[in-house]
Amino acid sequence: MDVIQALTDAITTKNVLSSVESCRPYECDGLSAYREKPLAVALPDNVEQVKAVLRICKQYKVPVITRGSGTGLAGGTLPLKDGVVLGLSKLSEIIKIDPLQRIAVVQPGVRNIAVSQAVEKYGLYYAPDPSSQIACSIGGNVAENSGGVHCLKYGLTVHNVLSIKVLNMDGEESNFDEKDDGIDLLALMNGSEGLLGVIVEIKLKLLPKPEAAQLVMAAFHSVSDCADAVTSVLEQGIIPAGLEMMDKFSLMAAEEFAKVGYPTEAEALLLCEVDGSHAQVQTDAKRVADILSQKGAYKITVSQSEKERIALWQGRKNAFPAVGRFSPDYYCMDGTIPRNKLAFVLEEIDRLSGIYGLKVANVFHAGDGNLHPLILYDANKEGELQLTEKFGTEILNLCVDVGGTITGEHGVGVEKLNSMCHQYNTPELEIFHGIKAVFDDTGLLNPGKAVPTLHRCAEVGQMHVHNNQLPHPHLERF
Amino acid sequence: MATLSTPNHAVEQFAEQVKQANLDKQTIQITGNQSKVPLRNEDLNGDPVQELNISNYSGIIEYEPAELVVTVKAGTPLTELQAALAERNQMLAFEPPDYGNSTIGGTYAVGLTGPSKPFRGILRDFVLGTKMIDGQGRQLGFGGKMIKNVAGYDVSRMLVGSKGSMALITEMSLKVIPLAIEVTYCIEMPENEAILLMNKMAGTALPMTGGAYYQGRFYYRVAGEHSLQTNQVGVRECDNSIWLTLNPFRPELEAGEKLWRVDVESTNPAIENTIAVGMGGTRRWVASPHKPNHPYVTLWQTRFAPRHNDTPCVQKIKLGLRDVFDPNHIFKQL
Amino acid sequence: MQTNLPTDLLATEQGQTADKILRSCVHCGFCLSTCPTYGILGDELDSPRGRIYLIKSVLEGNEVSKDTLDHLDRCLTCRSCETTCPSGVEYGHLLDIGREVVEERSPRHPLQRLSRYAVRKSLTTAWFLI
Ligand SMILES: Cc1cc2nc3c(=O)[nH]c(=O)nc-3n(C[C@H](O)[C@H](O)[C@H](O)COP(=O)(O)OP(=O)(O)OC[C@H]3O[C@@H](n4cnc5c(N)ncnc54)[C@H](O)[C@@H]3O)c2cc1C
Ligand SMILES: Cc1cc2nc3c(=O)[nH]c(=O)nc-3n(C[C@H](O)[C@H](O)[C@H](O)COP(=O)(O)OP(=O)(O)OC[C@H]3O[C@@H](n4cnc5c(N)ncnc54)[C@H](O)[C@@H]3O)c2cc1C
Ligand code: SF4
Ligand code: SF4
Repeated sequence: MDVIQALTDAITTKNVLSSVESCRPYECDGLSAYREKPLAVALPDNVEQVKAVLRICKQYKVPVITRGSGTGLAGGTLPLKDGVVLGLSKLSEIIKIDPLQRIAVVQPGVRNIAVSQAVEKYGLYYAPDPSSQIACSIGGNVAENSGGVHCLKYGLTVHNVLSIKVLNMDGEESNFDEKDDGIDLLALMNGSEGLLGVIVEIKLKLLPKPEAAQLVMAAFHSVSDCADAVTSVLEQGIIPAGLEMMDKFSLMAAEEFAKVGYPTEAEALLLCEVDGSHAQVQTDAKRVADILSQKGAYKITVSQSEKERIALWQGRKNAFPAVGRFSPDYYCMDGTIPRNKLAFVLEEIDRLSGIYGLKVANVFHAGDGNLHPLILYDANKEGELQLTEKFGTEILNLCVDVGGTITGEHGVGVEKLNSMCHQYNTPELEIFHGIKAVFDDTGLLNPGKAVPTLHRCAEVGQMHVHNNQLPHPHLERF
Repeated sequence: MATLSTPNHAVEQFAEQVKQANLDKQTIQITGNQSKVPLRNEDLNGDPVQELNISNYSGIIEYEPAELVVTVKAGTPLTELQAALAERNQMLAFEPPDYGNSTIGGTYAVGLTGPSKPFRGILRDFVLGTKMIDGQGRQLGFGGKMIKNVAGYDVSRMLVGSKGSMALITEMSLKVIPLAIEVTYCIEMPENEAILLMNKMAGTALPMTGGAYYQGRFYYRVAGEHSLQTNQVGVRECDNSIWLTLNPFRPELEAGEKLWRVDVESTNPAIENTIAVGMGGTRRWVASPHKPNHPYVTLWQTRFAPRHNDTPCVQKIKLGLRDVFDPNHIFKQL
Repeated sequence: MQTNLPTDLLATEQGQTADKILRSCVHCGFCLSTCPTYGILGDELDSPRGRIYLIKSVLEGNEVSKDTLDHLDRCLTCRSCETTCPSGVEYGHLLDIGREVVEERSPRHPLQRLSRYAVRKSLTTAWFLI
């Protein structure tokens, strides 16, 4: 008997895809430049079936690539040709909502926004709101430790998960709870990219909706003025609920889709949301507006209704794919830098963009210093993807060199493996491999993702430089 | 994150000591100011233990208020760190308890959070990165100074609660928040009603940052501008010092009684012999000769001993991880 | 999204249109959220993004069977996905092209053809009602 037959016997024919034709649409996720057809796709109906799939795959020594909604932007669910994709989209039940305790217990395939929609009637919501929230799954959110436009104030996924149930390759279940004693395994699982276990149940923290929220939209004639304004807002002791920036290109694309009246003549747009009690919001919105106009905003709009506020966010949240209107392909970077380096790094990216001859659209979580330069390219043009990747790597190295990191929320996946060699040295990578082996001694859970092999790092020749001999010596170090 | 700073003499020395201990097969007990864990000179087998004291490795390395991040050496006393933040109108959101000259390193190692836990989050939520020395004396860095960082596993958050048993933390970067202006209110009422009320209130838009029950009174704390509270029946404003009474909580016990820390769901009904309810109902302090029957109970006098209620699967993971960080078991287990 | 349609197909107007639509899809998956069939079945193949991929695969000249036909058949043509798509993918239009090509390349079983014919006639021909 082979693995496909065993899977079919265990979880029924309708839940196993194995023809080339049916497997092909599973060959990539939100990063469609990387593709590989899996051996089979298993779509279990329940947790028992997930356990069965894991046991069978262990028995046949077949790699397992867990997949939520496949919106990941780093190739985290890129299949292996001898591997099984374990799709959790059918596990989409909200198991429990306790409004008094302010928690929801959900299956991993539940879409992010579905949680907030289900608890809205209690005046509650689930805070982390990735731009992909209408589609991405909570399981995927935990595996990537996803952030969103509101995470400066309300935290990332790791801050809003109270406990999880995880399966290992034996199908054995463990519970990791915030209340646990000793080291924090719950925190470790957040952002583990499907390498340490399959998350099958999640208990989420729900927050009361703030009494009021207002969005201040400020248009600038220059990108660097806009970047500087970000620091000023935070310096004044205001923690906005969201602080997002878009450059001309992305705001034009977003406007084209959302039609919410973004000032398309602006070079840069800042969206700053303040929330809290009515009184607090009034005070803060005014303070923010004052700070921004002092910092050179030439036009300031303050949302006057809940409808307007949500509409203004719609443009931002759809900005990445909206860019698809102007360019067949984009490559989304995710570097994070200290906020006071924003203006510098944006200028560098602009300079590199000229050198590579590839356009860049910038749309990002300015409050967190989390950049999302979208490099625009055409995959149908020979060699353009390779050039794009090279450009991307250079941007990430720049982020590390100014004291930042290669990925703030999208994860390493397969895409940033080489950049990991730039950020971490050998003993640190050894620790990562050690952790993986403790959770998964078979090495079958999403192999080849997130952490590069030492061999690979030696090969890309980017092993971390010691004795303070670093690239970009002219940069100030942190 | 990879070692970008200049070689540091003190850290080199710590690393040397750990390397030497590997050669000598010596056990090391890491200590801060011993405000929580007193130094015992022998390990579980009765063998002698060497002390590695980090309290002299103290001070703020980098602090830029606009970045909302502070980077400190692990031996820095909490009071010193808090004073430096207060000067710039900022604070540690997790309000760690100060047991008398506690260091930030020791606080991290036991993962202690104050009354704002369900509202602002726990200590590890605010850890952005750490530098450490592992059991082989290697200098490592994980995370960074960014609010967001998902490159590699989140080792710097995982080690919160490691109690010196896996690595020596030498420095850490923490997210800080603007200094909150807070007011405390209280109402006299029975415990069960208070538990219900604090849960109900936490589900409203009122910007709550604390909820507790102590000696017949329900206390709640509110930050920033908010609606008038004292026009409600029985509600009056009272002193913020209640939060220091409960954090750290050091009650006087009757003879034969023991203090138990019980972590429960916030809506759990009153537990017998409870002397204080904190953290919005998620923390109960029980004074009793007998262990309360709950899954997350710690006998407070042995508070740093493991609870030993992990499933075999989790136990195996924890032992395995210890071997990854400290293969020769140089660091003393509690 | 990258496409690789054969040149002879690209020479036709239909081929060009399909290529243009396919390339405007950035594979973000937003449309999964509003597709009624995906909501019920939870299989990417019954989602707009999956169907777009199936059509792409057929147009690129890969083998095609009844499987693809089934997934395209299950589409309600409600075009809810189009209103969600930030990239402006004209799914409905692509589907028409896709259905036509698949119909040609993966002929239906004669019985199914007959029953489809009967349904079509019964709904549109007056004498059938008598
Ligand atoms: C247009 C667009 C905008 C985006 N905006 C944001 C944003 O603002 N913030 C942000 O953080 N991300 C964003 N993302 C990235 C992506 O949506 C997130 O990473 C999301 O969390 C992925 O969820 P998913 O269900 O699609 O996971 P998938 O893509 O299916 O999987 C992602 C990773 O998680 C693993 N995984 C999935 N489910 C499980 C599970 N149950 N157990 C174990 N491992 C699992 C997979 O193996 C894989 O490594 C965006 C993506 C797109 C396309
Ligand atoms: C995803 C999905 C789910 C559905 N679920 C249901 C369901 O749960 N229950 C259900 O009953 N149906 C359902 N339907 C079918 C459909 O929604 C209903 O039949 C609906 O009533 C059609 O309304 P419409 O306005 O879209 O009409 P159309 O599709 O625009 O028109 C339907 C017919 O009525 C004629 N017509 C429309 N307006 C007028 C008018 N003013 N005067 C004269 N003739 C007119 C049209 O010419 C056409 O022949 C579903 C369809 C989809 C795609
Ligand atoms: S048109 Fe088809 S693919 Fe699009 S939403 Fe409707 S059923 Fe789904
Ligand atoms: S939403 Fe549009 S661009 Fe995104 S996958 Fe669907 S069709 Fe493609």
